[in-house]
Amino acid sequence: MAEPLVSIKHLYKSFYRDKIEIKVLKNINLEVNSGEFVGLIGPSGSGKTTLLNIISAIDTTTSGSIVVGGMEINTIKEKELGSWRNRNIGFIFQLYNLIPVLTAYENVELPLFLTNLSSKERREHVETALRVVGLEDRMDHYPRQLSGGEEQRVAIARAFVTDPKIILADEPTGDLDYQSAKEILHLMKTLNEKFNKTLIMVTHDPEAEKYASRRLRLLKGELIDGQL
Amino acid sequence: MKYVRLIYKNILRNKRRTFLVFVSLSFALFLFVFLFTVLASMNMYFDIAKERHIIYAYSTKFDIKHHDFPQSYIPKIKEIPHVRDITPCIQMLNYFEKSTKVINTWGIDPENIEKFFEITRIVGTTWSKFAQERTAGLVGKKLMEEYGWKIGDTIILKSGLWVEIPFTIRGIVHGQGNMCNFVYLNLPYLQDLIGCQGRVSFVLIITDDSSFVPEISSKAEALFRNYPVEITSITQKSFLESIVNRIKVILIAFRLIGWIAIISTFLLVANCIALSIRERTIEIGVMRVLGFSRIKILALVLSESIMVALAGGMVGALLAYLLFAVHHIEIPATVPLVINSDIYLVFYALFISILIGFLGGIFPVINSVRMKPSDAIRNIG
Amino acid sequence: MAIPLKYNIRSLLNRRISTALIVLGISLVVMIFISMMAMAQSMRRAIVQTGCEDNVIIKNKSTCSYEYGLLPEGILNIVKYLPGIKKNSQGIPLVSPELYNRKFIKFGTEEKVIWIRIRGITPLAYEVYPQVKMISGRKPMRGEIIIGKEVPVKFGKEFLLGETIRVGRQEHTIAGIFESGGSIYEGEIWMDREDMKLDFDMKGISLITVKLESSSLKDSFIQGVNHNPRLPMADAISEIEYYASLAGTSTFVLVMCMIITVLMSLGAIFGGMNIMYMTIAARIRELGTLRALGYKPFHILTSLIIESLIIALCGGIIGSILSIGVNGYSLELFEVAFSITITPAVMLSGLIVSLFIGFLGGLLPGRSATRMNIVEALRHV
Repeated sequence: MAEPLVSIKHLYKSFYRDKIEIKVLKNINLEVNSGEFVGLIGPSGSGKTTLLNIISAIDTTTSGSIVVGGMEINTIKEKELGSWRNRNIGFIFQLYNLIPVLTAYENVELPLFLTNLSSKERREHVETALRVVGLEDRMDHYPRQLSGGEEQRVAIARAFVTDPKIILADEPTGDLDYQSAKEILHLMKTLNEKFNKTLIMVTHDPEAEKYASRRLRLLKGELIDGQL
Repeated sequence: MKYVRLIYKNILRNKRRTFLVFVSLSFALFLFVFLFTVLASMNMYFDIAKERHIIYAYSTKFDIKHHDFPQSYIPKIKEIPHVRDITPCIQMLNYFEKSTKVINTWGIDPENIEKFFEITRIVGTTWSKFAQERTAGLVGKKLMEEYGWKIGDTIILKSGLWVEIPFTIRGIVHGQGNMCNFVYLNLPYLQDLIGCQGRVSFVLIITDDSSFVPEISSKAEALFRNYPVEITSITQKSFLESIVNRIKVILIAFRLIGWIAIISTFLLVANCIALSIRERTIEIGVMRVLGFSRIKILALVLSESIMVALAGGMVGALLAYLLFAVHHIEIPATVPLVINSDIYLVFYALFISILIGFLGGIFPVINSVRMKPSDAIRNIG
Repeated sequence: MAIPLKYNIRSLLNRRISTALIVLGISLVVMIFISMMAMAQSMRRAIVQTGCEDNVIIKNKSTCSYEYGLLPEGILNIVKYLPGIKKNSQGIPLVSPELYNRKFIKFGTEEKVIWIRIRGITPLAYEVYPQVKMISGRKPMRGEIIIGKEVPVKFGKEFLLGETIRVGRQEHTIAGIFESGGSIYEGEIWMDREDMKLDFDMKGISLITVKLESSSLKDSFIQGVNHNPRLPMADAISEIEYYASLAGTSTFVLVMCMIITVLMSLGAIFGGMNIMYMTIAARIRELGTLRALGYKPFHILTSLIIESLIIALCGGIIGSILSIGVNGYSLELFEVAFSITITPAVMLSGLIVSLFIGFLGGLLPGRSATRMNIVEALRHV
């Protein structure tokens, strides 16, 4: 059995607002293996987004260990977190978070600027990614010229263009209509099964849950493992 | 008054923005008051002239080294209709010890000199005592301070004509503008020293009304045509204008820059205020729902912007005012122009600040307040 | 290059009004800066450049300016035979005795008062001041005058050859117009010294300018004159030093320029900072996304500073172009008549000022953007 891709042990996370402690995550223990499509389900305020933020090193732990891709995140120096994230994590947001002044092509190309790829190599990667999500003929369009579903697809392309170890999605279908949501989830399933990408998706949409191969429940900061 | 806390809290909502608006306004109004103070000082020369309708009559050969206007002409000129009064003067430029600055020295007739010069008072002696002591001298306040002279000192000035001018300081002259920069001596004494008895540099003529000036000028010139010493005349106003003309360009530039600073600051501040109001559309809607009338909300929001603008403007304007009030600053030239602080400019500046605060906030707030409360809460628009 | 430049440029174009405001503001600051610096510099150059390396001025010891003192005629015969003086092709020592006067005259129907400077010369003057060249007409004969090219500016009218002006007692015909490489002679009226003696009733010599065989003899010559027992009232000074000492008023103008520029720049910096903070607040989610993608705080800082610099540079370039309008403008300031020349150095300093404003205006906002919490940034609406 290969090493798990993500290994979290005794993770606690608290926020402090004006000296008042808010415990968001309590004693999280979790392992995710390579190639899994994990669905993280729970009501709002349960800490799903926070867990995702910690796995992607956007946020820090209060205590506990978290190993992603063989690397203990807490030991990565502040300066190197950005590069680490760039190489290892792909992120899909609920509100897409595309840069409005860049075209679809340029948005997907953005993370590649931090790598050593040449202009030609970047072009190859971007075009491939856009082809996978089915938007190669819209690459010169700006986000405002795309529908919500199309924007999210560009975001997905951006998420895996760097070939990251793991892709994290925070409520990817939260802002989409039924039809677009289905397309997005289908796309994510393809990424997982055809391209063997590891996905962790946070959602409270019962339809989206079904696409995940493994479902975890988060309630008031605690993990309730198992199928539902 | 119950709203003061509310207004105060809102101002502090975004401290950084408020601070930057405050600072921008301070700078702009400091610059404005600074520049316009200099302008006002220069314009003051005009105001003096406008009031007094004074004419200089001098010989056609006149320049700073010649003193050949015959005093004997004076009685005849006095007979010209509408001439109220006339006084003879000698004016010369002297040096003191090693200083490179020239000292403007006047030989005057103390009897009616106050009608002609903007002297508010003299300290240490009286005009009649001064007239009785031949070698007495009166020195302007600013000149006294500059050289550190005291009443009772004997000063020796040097002139370019190899003549020494000794005198004893008996009093200090307080007056407007350049009056405080002169040395005043008795006319007969000065005439003896430079050897031009019976002659002066020029005479000052005061008339009842400025409309008589051209008439008096031409009559005076005609009186002595073809005499060995012919005379000509100009109004004090023209003379002072010519002095100000040296720096006309600067005057125009200052005025321009002053207004540019105000307008660009206004645009900036208006932008900031508009933004902060837009941010609070939801709140304004809530207040409407709670029952606050449009006018009340308008007043609250405008009070904020006006208060911040006023505070910033005050600081800047006062700093500029104090700069000139505390320090003696003058524009260097052979005849230096003294810059006086002007309190009216501070009030003017305050008014401008209030206007900026008002205009900057009025349009965005009217916009927000005009919305239906239901729309505002959902932040539509 | 991490964050691509097109992101900055397009973000700027996205918020046209804010961008246009700052660009306008900075262009105004730069335009004013360049215009005033060029004016101060041109004025200073006009005064300072009046001096020749190998010329020495001899004047009355008791005054600082040759305007006020006179030397006796007899001095000429002593000075002519001093060692070290250059001789012309006819073997005549290049010694130029001159009369100098500054006075005001009435001019025109509206009784404008203007200050003019008149120099009474001998033909040797043209050899002592080789930079003086006729641009129209010819050198004057007895009874005639020549005027410097900035003189019409004072009078506010163009003069034709053959026209007459009355400066002293007599009317004189204008025989020619001269230029002298931007020095102060261009604001003067030159006439024959003997004519001037009669016209202005002046006896004596204002100054003597001698041309030395070589500039290395300057110091020994000056020493010789100052310690010569036969020249007790004479003071020798190198021409360059003399005019440099008169440049005091231009220093004032320069100081004013700096003060105004500093104030306006500070205003622009605060204004720019304000707007920068606002745009960052509007783009906080974008910037958070960039961080999430792996861009480092440093990348964001440099990107924002570059954005600020781009705006500033645009403003600087526009301001420079606008300031070209004053190039060549002739004016008179503190009685120095000169035309404004904008040197490349001044233009460049204008651009540097704009970059400085841009850098500082972007620095603090940029730094605050880098210190943001990624999580909160992404959550921002």
